[in-house]
Amino acid sequence: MRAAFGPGARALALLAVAWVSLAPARARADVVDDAFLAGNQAAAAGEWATAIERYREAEGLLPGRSAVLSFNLGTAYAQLGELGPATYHLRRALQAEAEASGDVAEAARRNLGIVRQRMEVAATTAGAQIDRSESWWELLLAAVAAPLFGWLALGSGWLGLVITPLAARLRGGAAAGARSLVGVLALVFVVVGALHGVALRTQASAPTAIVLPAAAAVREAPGAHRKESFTVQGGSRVRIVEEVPGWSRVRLPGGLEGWLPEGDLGRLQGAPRRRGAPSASRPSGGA
Amino acid sequence: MAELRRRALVSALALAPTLALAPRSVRADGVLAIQARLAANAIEVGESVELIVEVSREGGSEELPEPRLPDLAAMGLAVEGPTTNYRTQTSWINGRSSSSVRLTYVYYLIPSKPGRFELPVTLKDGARTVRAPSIPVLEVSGEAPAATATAPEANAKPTDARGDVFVWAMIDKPSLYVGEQLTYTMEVYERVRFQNIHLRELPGFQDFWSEELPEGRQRNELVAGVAYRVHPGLRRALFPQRAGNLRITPAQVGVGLRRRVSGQAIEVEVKPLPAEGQPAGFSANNVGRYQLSASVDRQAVKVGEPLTLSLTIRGTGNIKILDPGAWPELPGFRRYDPKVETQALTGDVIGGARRYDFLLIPEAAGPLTIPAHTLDFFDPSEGAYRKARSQPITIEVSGDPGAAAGAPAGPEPSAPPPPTATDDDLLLAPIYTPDALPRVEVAEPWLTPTRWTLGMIGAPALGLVALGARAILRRARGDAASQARAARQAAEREGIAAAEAAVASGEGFYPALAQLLQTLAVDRAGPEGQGLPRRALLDVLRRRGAEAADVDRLGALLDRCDAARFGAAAGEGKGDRRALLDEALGLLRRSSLAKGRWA
Repeated sequence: MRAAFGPGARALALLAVAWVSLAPARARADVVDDAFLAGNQAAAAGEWATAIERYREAEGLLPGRSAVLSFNLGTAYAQLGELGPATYHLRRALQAEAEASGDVAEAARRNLGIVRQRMEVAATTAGAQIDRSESWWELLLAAVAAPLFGWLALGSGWLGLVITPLAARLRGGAAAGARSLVGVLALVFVVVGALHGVALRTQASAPTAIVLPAAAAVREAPGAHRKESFTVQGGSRVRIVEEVPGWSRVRLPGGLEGWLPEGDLGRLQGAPRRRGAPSASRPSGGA
Repeated sequence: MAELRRRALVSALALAPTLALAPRSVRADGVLAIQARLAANAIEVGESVELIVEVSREGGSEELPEPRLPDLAAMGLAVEGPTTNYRTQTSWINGRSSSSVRLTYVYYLIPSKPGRFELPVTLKDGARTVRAPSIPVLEVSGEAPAATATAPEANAKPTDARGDVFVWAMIDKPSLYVGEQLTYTMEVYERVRFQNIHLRELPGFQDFWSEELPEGRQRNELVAGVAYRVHPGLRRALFPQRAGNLRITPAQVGVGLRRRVSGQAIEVEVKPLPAEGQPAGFSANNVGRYQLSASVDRQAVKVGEPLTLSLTIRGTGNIKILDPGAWPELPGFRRYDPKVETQALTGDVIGGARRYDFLLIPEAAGPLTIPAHTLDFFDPSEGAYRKARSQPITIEVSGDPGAAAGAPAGPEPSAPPPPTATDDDLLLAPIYTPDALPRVEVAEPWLTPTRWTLGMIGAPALGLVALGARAILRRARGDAASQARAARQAAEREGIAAAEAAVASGEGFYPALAQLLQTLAVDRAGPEGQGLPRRALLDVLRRRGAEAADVDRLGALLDRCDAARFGAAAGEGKGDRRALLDEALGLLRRSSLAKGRWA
């Protein structure tokens, strides 16, 4: 018997035990699925508030991302007319990290369009400010911020570096082809790299966030007692350009700036917002 | 005992002068007195005069009571003030002190009517009444302002000179309709320059809607042959709110410090709007001349896509209170309460534009028509009712005709209604209900911004380093000429070393030295000297600028080496070889053939 379990077999067994014990994510999967299915059942019964509660429970337990969960959460908020959280979760469903399938992405875009339409109506009737649609430059930056473009620029640069000395040894047509390839790689390196760098810098210096309350009072300075500058429609996309404890200075795409309570904003980058209801800087209206 | 008596006597003697010299205070109640007088006894209506009342008490310390004036309002005397001045005085007479306090009140009296007015002033001192020994009497001359309102002609100017300053009010029409604009102007006429003319009391515009108008300019004017400077007072656009004879009470201005001048009251005849031809439900606020226009921001939309309908009413009249009337039904649209923006224009005639922005949501596909809107108004210049009408607008609505069929079609909701289940089922994509939640593990990406930045900097940096290294290597290796020169110099050094080594033994000395000198000659002669016989080689050196003596020395050294090699100079000792080598080295290093001097 001793010969049957040598040192190698014992090491393998230990590795297997360690593998099983160090994989906690799978242990939670059932809990997440249970909460998600409970949310689906509540949604099917038209109990959207309960569905949101269950979905948020699932989101809190989920270690990673789920485009379907974000989509369902955003749609449930849209059903309740809460346009700010609806926009926030639908946008998260469309983020590259969520890896939404084609049909989920299409459905999220459709619901986002409907929510946007309702936001415009609500903003017009309430006289609130709303973000304008993304410009081509913003769309371009959002696209090139993807890691794929970072790899493309990086690969082009290093590949060009490797090919350059080889091209010097070639003669005739092969040399001309190699030189052309180096030129193209250099162009990709410079253009894509510059765009990707600008996108990363913009994301780092002024992260994007969504206004969560139905209508939020933007103030001239941080503090609830400060004068109100304007009202921004819930669901509007803003950039956070400065932060002090509890308050964020935000800029609308049109250039309007002011201070909002930190709790009124849902950042699109990073971990999902796991707090409760957004702080009500103004009673909901119109949404 | 005797000692005690002696001490008492000494104390009494010491105290006596003190008691004799100490002042004796009077603690009597004191005597209260009052004096009243006028700064001037004869003035005109509107002028002010000072009534000076002095209350004093000799001795005593109680507070001085306030004087009591007669009923001045009943005499038509307006009072300003008083200003007060308090004074105390203490005097010593024959070792006795006496004190008095005096409080002076100054009242400014402004009569509004002529007459003779006695002004008895009293004091109440407990139960006792103290009267002023003399009663001031004020004689007021002039005319009191007219108590009754007049109905002047349109823009009637003053016809009589009325002293050095007077107030004049006028209207642009004596009779008008309810809601029609009446322009009221108040001006101050002065003959001499007064420092401070200010409005003290506004005219009474009861029953009028009042709007400010820009004031006129100061000008000069002759009134019954008397030159006046005319100050603009105020101008108002008045819109009567009821019919009848309405009264505008006079304004009062202050002139100088305390003079007051009143204008005249004006009565206006306000006619009711005619009943004949009056539209049903007509609002009396719609008096003026108006135009109505309608526009939309988009003429082609999708079902559910909002658009804005703007209705603009433009014209003259009291546009702030204009009633636009009931809005027409908009079949196929959901409509929200409008946002109203009024731009009032204030010139001589009040008017402006009022815009109503409606948010409309088309709920059905196809061409939808926004019907014309009609505004009824009364034109006072024509004395008739008129209509302003906008043009109907057709909106092309695309999309699924049934998409918004279930949406509520309330007539005029004040806010967007919460979405209903039916509405959302039709519009929003449904939720996903897989058996298990699809998810992705989010791992920290390897390509972090920092790594990406380092990688992006690294590639060109490495390229630059490679280029730099290549340049350094090239520089270190040099070109073909320098490489050949270095090879020759190495051969020269080798030749000298070989000759040095052979000096002692003589073995191979001459061939090595001949080789060294030959290499020198060929090197200095350059490519032209390759393969030439010795004499020709030396000629080339001469042509290339070497000094003839050095070339001759070189030729002689080479000949001597040949002679030694081939036996003609056999038997030379070590010293001879040393001297020969030194001469060759001198030629190599210090002649015109030396390396540093050779061009």
